[in-house]
Amino acid sequence: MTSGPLELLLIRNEPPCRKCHKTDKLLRAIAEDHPGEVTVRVITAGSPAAAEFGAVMTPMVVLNRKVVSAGLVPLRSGLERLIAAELSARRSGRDAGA
Amino acid sequence: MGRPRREIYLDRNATGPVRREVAEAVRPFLTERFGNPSAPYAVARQAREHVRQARAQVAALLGCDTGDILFTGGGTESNNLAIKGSFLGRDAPDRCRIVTTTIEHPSVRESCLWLERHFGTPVTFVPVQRTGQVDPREIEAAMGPDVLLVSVMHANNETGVLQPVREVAEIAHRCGALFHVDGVQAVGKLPVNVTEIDCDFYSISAHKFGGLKGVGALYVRDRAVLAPLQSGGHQEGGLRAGTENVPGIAALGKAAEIAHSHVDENREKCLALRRIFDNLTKRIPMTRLNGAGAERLPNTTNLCCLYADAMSVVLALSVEGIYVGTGSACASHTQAPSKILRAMGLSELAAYCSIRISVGPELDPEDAEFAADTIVETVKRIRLVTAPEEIGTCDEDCPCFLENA
Repeated sequence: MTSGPLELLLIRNEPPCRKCHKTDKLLRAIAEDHPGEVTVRVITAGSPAAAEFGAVMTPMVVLNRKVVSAGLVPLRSGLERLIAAELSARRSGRDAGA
Repeated sequence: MGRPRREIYLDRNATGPVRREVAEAVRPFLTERFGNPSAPYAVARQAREHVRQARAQVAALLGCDTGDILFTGGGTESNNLAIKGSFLGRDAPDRCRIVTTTIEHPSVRESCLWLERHFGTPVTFVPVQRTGQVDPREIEAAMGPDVLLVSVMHANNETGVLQPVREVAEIAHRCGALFHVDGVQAVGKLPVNVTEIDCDFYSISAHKFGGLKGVGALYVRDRAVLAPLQSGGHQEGGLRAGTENVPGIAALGKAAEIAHSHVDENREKCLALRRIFDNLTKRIPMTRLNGAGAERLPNTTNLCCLYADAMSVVLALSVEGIYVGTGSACASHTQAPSKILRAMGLSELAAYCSIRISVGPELDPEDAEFAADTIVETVKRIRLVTAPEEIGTCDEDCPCFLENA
């Protein structure tokens, strides 16, 4: 089983654009709904950490090293479903796959 | 997807690797055989001989005479030279209109618009059908005694759809116009014979079939109809001033020779690989093949996965080491929907949700299967966060997919 909270990574512009702001707010709201289970980390598109992902289009959301959206604000309902699947897989020690 | 990570390149219409034999053939020209072909001494004569040999190899690939090949700095330059050069070199001032289509590469479209802006050249853009193919009757309807040049691509870079170039050649010549074919995507993937096509100009680019970037060629049936675009040298019969790119030209010649001898075998390999990706329309709901119903390049699949934002899909696949395109390479850094897909009648949503998968014959079928499985998973994941919860199913001509259906 993977230890520690599930990380939602946001790669955004500096200064953040409107879409980056909205995505940041959305991710933090989701994390607040999952205290201790989900955290948010924000990095800028020009940072060495972002370079790991190769090409980037902001705002880009990464969950468990998988890109879930790029260049747009993701839908909250879909993101919630992906997180629920990841958390459930972690509890049972599996990989959530998609 | 528990597999060791390996990079899988599925964007061969953008570019491809230099073939090993080509790289080996080029090496001497970077070091000991560095002569300038215009000089009188031995090392220069050697370079001249290799340029001559490459010209013969390219002519063999295209089915024309050696003297009809003019070396350029790539497909874009070839297209510029054919279009602007034929306009500037024309004899009859009344023949000045250009007829082309709405799906051409920017180097064709922008060359026409440049002439319009600077010389008032009228340009007629002929629309294409839903399949992505131009109807020759539409070209015929656009013709008139004022038409100087017709320019139609052989195969579309995004959809791979083949255009009826032989029929268009006949129509253009019947009206006394010249005919230019942008063959950049077709050469090396299909057998090409410019004599059979009966065109006046045919553009090619080396890096699309195993050569180096920054070198290409233009088949020119009659050099007298062209004016040069750059001055300052006698090279290429005065039509392309500047010292020849000998390593690039030698590489182009070798790549042409290999492409010529392997074209049928490569076509079969690519067709088998393409089937794996064409089949994704059956594996992913609400997915369509752009260009279905038309004959396509053997290596190209352009898929519209409705509601799965293409840029998100491409970047998500990139993290997995799988590289696909979102449209032409020149345009994929922008977020504008593909002009080509829009010209085919796709809605803005459908154009934003389309990815281009283009393979080379060296692709391992197992890698192709793995990439296809990963695309299925990725589209499913991206749709979760970019699509409404119920996307339902659409009829054939649903406005989600087609505009003004």
